[in-house]
Amino acid sequence: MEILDSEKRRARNLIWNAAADYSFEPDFKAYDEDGRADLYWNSIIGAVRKNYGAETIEGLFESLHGCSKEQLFEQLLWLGLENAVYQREAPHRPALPSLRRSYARRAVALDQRADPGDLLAALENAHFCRALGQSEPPLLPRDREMLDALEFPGDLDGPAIAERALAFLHTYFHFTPGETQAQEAEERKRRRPLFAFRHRSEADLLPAVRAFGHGFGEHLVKGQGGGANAEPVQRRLTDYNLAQTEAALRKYMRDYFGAPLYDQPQLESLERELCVDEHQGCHLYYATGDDTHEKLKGYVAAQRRNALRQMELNRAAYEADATRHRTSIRRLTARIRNAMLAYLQPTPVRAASGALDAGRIWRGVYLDDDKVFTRILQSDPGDLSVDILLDASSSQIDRQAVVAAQGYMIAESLTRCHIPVRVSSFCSLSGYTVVTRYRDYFETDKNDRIFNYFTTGCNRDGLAIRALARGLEDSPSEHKLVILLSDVKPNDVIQMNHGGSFVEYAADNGIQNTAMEIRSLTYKGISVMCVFTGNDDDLPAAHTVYGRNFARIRSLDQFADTVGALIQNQIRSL
Amino acid sequence: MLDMLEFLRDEGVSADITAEIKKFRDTYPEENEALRRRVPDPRYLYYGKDIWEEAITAILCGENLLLVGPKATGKNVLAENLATVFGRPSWNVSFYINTDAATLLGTDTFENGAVQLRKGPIYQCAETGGFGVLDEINMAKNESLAVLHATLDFRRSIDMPGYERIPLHDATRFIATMNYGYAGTRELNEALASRFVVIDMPAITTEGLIKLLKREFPSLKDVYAEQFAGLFQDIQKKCDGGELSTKPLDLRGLLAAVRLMRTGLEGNRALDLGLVNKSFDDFERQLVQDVIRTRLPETLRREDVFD
Repeated sequence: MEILDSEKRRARNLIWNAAADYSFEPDFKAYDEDGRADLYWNSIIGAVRKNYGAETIEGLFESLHGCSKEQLFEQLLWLGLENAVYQREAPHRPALPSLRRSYARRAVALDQRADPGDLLAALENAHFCRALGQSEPPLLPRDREMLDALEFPGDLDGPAIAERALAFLHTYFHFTPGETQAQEAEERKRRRPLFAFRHRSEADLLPAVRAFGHGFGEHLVKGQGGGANAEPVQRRLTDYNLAQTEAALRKYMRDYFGAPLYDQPQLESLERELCVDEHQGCHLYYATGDDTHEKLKGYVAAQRRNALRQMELNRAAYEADATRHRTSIRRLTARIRNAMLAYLQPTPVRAASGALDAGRIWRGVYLDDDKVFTRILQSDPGDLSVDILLDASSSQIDRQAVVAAQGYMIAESLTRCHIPVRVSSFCSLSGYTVVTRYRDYFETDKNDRIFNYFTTGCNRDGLAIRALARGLEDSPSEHKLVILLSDVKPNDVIQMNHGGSFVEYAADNGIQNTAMEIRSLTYKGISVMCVFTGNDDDLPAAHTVYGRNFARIRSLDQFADTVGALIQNQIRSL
Repeated sequence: MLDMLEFLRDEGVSADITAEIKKFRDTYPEENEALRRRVPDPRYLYYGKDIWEEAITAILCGENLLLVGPKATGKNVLAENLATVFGRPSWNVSFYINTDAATLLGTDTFENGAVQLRKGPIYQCAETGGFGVLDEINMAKNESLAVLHATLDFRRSIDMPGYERIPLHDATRFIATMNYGYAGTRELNEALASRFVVIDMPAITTEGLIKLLKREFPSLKDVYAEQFAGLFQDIQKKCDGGELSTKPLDLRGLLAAVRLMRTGLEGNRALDLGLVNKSFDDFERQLVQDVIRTRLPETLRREDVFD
């Protein structure tokens, strides 16, 4: 079952709300059978934390970890905790009784269909029948006794309830924390045939989202969360096939990245102009960022297929959380519009009050025209265009959908403010720096193409910025702003010409070169800002290159405000 | 009109301070009928002893006040209440991006064939000893507020080119409010900020909110006064945590919803109108609804809520 981000956030909010504490990340969230945040259970989870303390409860569930019946035990304990915390909370929350009743009715109805041998279902059914005040279903005497023991009273404090819970497990399941797990491990070892690979214990394999009640519970798994440190592909493509010629390589670029923006003579003239000094020996390719399916063969066909798949993923990811994205766009638009309004230029107009215009007094006396004053009205500050440059190197591989969405949100907000915007991405592959231009200044209906973003290869930031600076000459506007979405990790296979000797284009060399290219932009009076998408380690690099003009986005919620504030600052300094 | 001094005593404001207020009122009685009508008759009261004491002492010492705080902290209620407490006429100026010297001090206009000064609110405050409430002062550009510098500092005067320099009436005070970090707001520059004493307005407390609800709706049952106050605090916490925008954090909306319930609308529907629908984002609405659903029963009739 895939649980939507919005439901996860809802669950989190329900728990925080009931716990009256927003400073923690809930380690357990509950969803109903359709994957929607469960109103009742999440309220209970939050209330348990509030009443019994986080450490006690975490410690209790931690002690079950690794045993073969972990899933059963945790569900049983939650039943007990629910019983206890409900008695404590119900007097303060008039909604709780009705939420409990409606959950209980649902649970009892679903438990009718359960396997009669299912202990958990039998106990749950009886428990919620009691909650509803209905007559209990027939139970084995031992099960009834177990249920009585499990329904913890409301007057226990945290440590007492934890003790009671462990005593319950010990009495009915002979469970002793630590000991049971060790015994089970020993047992498994004995049964494992000689030479067999070591299997991880069953509990280690429990998925983060697993059955809970009639729905699902999501557990926080420590240390989870993608390989953000993915290293860029360091190989020249020609390494796969040394026989590749430059012409073959150009064809490869065309097939992989799609239709070219410029024809060959134009491209060569650009290369002559830009691929000099530090970037000697590099090549450029400009793509239009289309998503047409073409008949291709071999390695490039697979690559192109992956790229096209990523485009779909970008769109789907954006749609999955569309509400929040749209909110961000709205907020960002409001901020930009506000910033534009705040820095308007004054224009004098004739009015009935204001500063007296002596030359017009006669009109007041003879024509009864009272507009003999001038007033200052605020008008347009001169136009602004924005260039957005997305870092499309492999180091962004885990963030592709996020970067595409961020680029889209900025572009869309600017479009709504009628500011011309051009969106490109860049990456470097086999000595080619590929610039993909998704939309140009006046293509207001093509923001959608930003989702055609995908990452590959390395990135030669310096050359990409140089190419961007050249492109800025087409800008229709007087003021120009460049926004880079980058992790500031320049890296390329083609070495850099450093005063006659060749050095690696990576780490400090790359950063210095990028900083230099950025400075040459700012000398031209172009404002540059960076939305930093990288990790803590790369922060110093971002400082070196962008000074104060960068913002770090930790969560989507602060995206609009942070980027808005940056854009506002830039507009202010126009 | 409600006896504000009595109210302050109930709030726990020290007797020395209320005695000083009385002295101030006796020194500056307002005799002009037209101006007396400008003394606000408060619709809501501000609850919070500490803030009251701080604000009153500042005013007594001749300081101008800057009330800083987020939405629903009662900045305007306090500003208005202060004018009532001191029995002074008040002028309310809402600042906006193009607020300039002319809007504040006055502007030349043409009447009966002659140029005349049309007095602005600050000018009128200065002449009559009024309280000027400068609402959302940080919406305006700092440069256009520079004209207020001489008015707000020790010079206490307004000097308009082409007119007499007028000194401020001894009872004149200015109370500015600002909501830091709102869209469209800017940093107040030091020169202006240094001319105020600044009160950082705390969010309304649960007790304050319960008092407010009980005063507004005397027949509201205690248990529901607590629940509505708790509901508002829940939303407040979500805003502080960045989970919600401040749109559903709407004290006026909550009061309106309770009023609708009193008239007979079912509770959850009333809260939809007053709070939930303030947000135009579906997901945000869902979160606010969750808060309500986990606090109040599914149906809430008038007789459940009111005695």
